[in-house]
Amino acid sequence: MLEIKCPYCGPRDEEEFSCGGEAHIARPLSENSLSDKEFADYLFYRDNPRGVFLERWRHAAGCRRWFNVARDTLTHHILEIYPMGAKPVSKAGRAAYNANWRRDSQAEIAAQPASQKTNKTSSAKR
Amino acid sequence: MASTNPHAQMPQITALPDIMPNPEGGAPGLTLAAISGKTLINLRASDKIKASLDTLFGTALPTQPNRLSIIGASRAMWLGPDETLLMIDEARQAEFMLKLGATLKDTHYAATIITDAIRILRLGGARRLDVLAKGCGLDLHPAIFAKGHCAQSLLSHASVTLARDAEDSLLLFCRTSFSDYVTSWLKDAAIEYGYRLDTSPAPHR
Repeated sequence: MLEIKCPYCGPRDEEEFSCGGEAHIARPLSENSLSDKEFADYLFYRDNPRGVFLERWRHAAGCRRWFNVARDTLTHHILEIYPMGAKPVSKAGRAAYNANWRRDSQAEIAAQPASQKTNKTSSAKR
Repeated sequence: MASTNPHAQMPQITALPDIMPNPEGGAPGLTLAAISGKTLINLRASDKIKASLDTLFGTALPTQPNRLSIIGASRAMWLGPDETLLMIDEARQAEFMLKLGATLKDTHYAATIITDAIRILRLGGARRLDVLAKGCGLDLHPAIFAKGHCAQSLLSHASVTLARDAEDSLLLFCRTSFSDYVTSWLKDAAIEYGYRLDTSPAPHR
């Protein structure tokens, strides 16, 4: 059994938690502009790496709050626990985040706010 | 012909008696007392907003995780960063809710009366922690889980909230729908120490 350190309640048994699957899957803001195949990357496809995996957990039987966990699927070692909305700060966690195929997916690009995309487009024009 | 009365009550599965003597003699190792006459309020509000309720409640509501505020017969348990469980005397409920609404006005909060959803038990007796240790992964030793601490966890797969509001006993909150199960589990776990279940609706203090 894993011992997971809830950001609020401290170390508790895995039994108290529920796993919410892969973290950092942003919902596309403009799904109509995506093809079905591109939208499927957001909706259906999940990573299953051998090594560091970034996933969401919820302290279901405790404070019922969500948080992110960087866990090595090979050793079950928990490298890092960080809040929802944040990105991993550990070197291995950052590497796992950047190496994820999702970063380059059209679905993730379509999940960025319009302001950011406009800036990108305008800077690309220049 | 066998009775087919659809209103007949299902037989209680709690076959264990309410009193099991301590095999070693002396007082039962676990005492269970159902607590009634209390109102439970689930309060959703940020630390900043709930601070304005300190005067109404009588003391500061807990802002530290898994801590408990005690004032008179009232208890306030930290359930989450924006969630608190208040336990007050039932007689105060109407006035309390009225004043709560008047104090918090249009702020972003929710106060829900959940009295009927939760059963409260007071666990006493010298072996109460040994009994809980059979089904709960928390370290409840007084050095760790001291007076003023509370925690939500699982007791033999049932969600419970434990609050240590006294030196010699603790409060257990569980879902009403789980209370038969939790009670019979506690009885079963306490057979070797002896137990006494007091279901008389004596309001606790």
